[in-house]
Amino acid sequence: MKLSPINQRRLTTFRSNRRAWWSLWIFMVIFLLSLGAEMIANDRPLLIRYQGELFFPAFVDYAETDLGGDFETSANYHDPWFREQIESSGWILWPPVRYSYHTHINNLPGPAPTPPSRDNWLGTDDQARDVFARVIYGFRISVLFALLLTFGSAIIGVLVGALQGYYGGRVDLLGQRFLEIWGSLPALFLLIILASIITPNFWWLLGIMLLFNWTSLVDVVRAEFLRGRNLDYVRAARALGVSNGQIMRRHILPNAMVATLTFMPFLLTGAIATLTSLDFLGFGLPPGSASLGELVAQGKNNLHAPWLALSAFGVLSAMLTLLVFIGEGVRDALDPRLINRGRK
Amino acid sequence: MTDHSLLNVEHLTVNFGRDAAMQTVVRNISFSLQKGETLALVGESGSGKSVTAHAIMQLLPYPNAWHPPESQIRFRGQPLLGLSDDAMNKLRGNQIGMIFQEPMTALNPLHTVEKQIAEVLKLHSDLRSEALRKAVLEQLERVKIPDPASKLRAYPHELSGGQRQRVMIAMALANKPDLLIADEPTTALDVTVQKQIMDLLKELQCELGMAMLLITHDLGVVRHFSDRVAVMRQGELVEQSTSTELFRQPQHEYTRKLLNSEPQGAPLPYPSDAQVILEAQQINVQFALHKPFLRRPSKFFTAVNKVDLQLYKGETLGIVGESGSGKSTLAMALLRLQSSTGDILLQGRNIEKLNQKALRPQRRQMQVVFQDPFASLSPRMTVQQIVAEGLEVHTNSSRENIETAVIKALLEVGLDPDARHRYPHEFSGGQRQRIAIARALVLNPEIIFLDEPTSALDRAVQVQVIDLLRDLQARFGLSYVLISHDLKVIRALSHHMLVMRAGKIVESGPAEQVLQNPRETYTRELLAASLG
Repeated sequence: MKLSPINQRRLTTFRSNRRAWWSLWIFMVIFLLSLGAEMIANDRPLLIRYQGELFFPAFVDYAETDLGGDFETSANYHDPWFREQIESSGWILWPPVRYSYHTHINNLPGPAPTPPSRDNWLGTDDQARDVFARVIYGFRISVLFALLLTFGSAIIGVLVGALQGYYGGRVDLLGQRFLEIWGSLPALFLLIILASIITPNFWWLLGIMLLFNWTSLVDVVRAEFLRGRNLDYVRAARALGVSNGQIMRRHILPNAMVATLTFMPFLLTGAIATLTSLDFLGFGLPPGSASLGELVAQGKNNLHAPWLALSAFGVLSAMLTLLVFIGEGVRDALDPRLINRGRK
Repeated sequence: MTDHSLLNVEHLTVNFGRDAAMQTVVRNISFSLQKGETLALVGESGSGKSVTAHAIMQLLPYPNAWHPPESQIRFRGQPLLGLSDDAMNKLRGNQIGMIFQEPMTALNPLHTVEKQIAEVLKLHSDLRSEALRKAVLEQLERVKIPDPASKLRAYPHELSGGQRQRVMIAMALANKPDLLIADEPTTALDVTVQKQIMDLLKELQCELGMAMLLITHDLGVVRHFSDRVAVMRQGELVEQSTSTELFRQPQHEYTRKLLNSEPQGAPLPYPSDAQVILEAQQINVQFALHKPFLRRPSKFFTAVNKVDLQLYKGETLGIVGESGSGKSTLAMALLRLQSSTGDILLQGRNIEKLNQKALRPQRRQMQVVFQDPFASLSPRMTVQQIVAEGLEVHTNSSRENIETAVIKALLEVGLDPDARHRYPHEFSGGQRQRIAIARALVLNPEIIFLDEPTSALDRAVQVQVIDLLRDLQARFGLSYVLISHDLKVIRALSHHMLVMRAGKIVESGPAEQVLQNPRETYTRELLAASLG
């Protein structure tokens, strides 16, 4: 794909901002690694060779009997007797961390939470689960949630803002009043009420947050469309007979995209912070799921185990800082004044 | 230079940026200004006129802008370059006044006229309370604002363009400066107002005995109001002489080009048996002044008031009038881009009642070229995409056919078709206007609406665009509706003309007749005010 000169210049400006460029790379690497969290931290081995056959316990559920055990239940690979049984006629390939986010570790050296050790790099939490594993999974779910929420709100927000701004008049008037009413609904209380009726899972949370988050972009996009619909080249397109949809998509949307893109990284950080605070309060993801907010809550409840609070703080601040740096880079790259300064 | 000069500019160079990004905007120019004299700085846009003026006022964005050591600006022998801000502030607004091009943006919209003028007086004098108020009133009387006492409490938006410019002048002259820098003082104003403002400036100049540095691109203003002229081009001073000398015997080739670049020629004859292609009857455009909640608006501003017009095939209909006279609104209404009432007959078919969908096939017949070629082309589309857009809407042709049509249209407007994959910002103003014309032309329309097609262009380019329009009319039998405030452009292209004022047609008839023997007083005023 060939970039238009203006976008090339923006890319150059973004790349010349070394802090943002490096932040983007670091974030992308961490995010891609966390997408393969099952390969990094898992209580099931990645690969087993037993009696000349290959098994993939990380991806397939095997019964103990399949691997020479006694019971028809799912295999527990942490059982020392079972492990010896397999290794007696084959071998086991473990991931770097032998715990998943929900693994209860039975043979801890002391009462949980235990401090960081060679086995548990960031210690364990008060339910004897490995903090490092939970952080990896928690990072992944936070970023995925934030990405889905941001893109969902962007799509709805741009659409609504575009319609309001382009058609103006009554559409705009009713739309704006609706937004005012909608914006004043207490989203947190609705979530609390909902949490008492159902157990909110990932999709419930995403849906409800989406209901209240999409409004954030509407005003920006609406303003761009209000301005854009009277531009000469938009009027020229109307005189050519181009349809309204085409005009919005081809002529005005690119202008509105600048404002939207500038906002996006900051929406992303906002979404992560929202999910974390809901989890912290206990109205977020269902109990037991890996979440950074829950880790923060544990840190607060277990002040004698500072590794909990420190891990949560470290991961959250690193993630949010990287995103803010990227956001600043994007904002500057899309700023026409800075672009002109770089021009000969 | 002798020491009598009030202002002495020697070897002035202005650079922006450093090292690789450095750009020289003004290059080694020297001139001087005597007491009571008017020097006009003329040149096309981008020639460095305004930057020179800002350098004298030390208003450039320092330190991004900088001068090499040999540059000198002396005001009464005192060097201005590198003067401290405090010292400079004593001069600004006190001994050197400045007025800007756009009076709406140069005045603070949140403060009353009284407050803004009083501020200038307070900074450089000890006048307070009643005495200050009296002084402000005096200033307003001096610039001949009607009913000055009531204007004290007015906000800028309550004043007309000409009145705002008068307030600006009052502010600039409040402390009786020795030097007034006028940066395009009349460009944003209507012709009739232009003349009044320039007359006022001249009168005040005599009264106060001040020198004036007049920055303009309008040769008419230069001819009537300046003693000496300095012509600038691409940051350099190409010629400097007295006004009469320069207009009689221009030395430099560029100056000659500038002087000769008045729109010339006459409209082409068109067949007398031509058919009416567009007819409008009783066109009315109203805007609601105030919209009561859930009720129909009751007060309207009538922008176009019962206008009738007829356009013949191959004819150019010129529409003139001041800003706000409704001429652009009328064009938008005829194009059905602005809701209106009345009948619009396009080739005998009433298109006023058609909805947007039924209208779409008819749009092909009527195209429009806007004033500002920078705003009328989408910056994110290539020239190919821009010109092809209309074809994609109206035909089902293949890609190749569309591309061929685009190439043909670009050739017809005198552009290199190889450049069609570039973006508009890579073209000059005149070239962009050609692209806009190509976009209209590619659909083979019957009528092209030209909304001030040349006003945003430099003189020399204007002439080329006018020649192109005339040439296209001859080849394709196009009809034009030409909207302009520039009577020279109208004269060069129109067969018939309408004079509009406050939404109504004041006078209409064959262009030659209206321009030679105007019947109405308003038309006569308009003609008299347009400086030649």
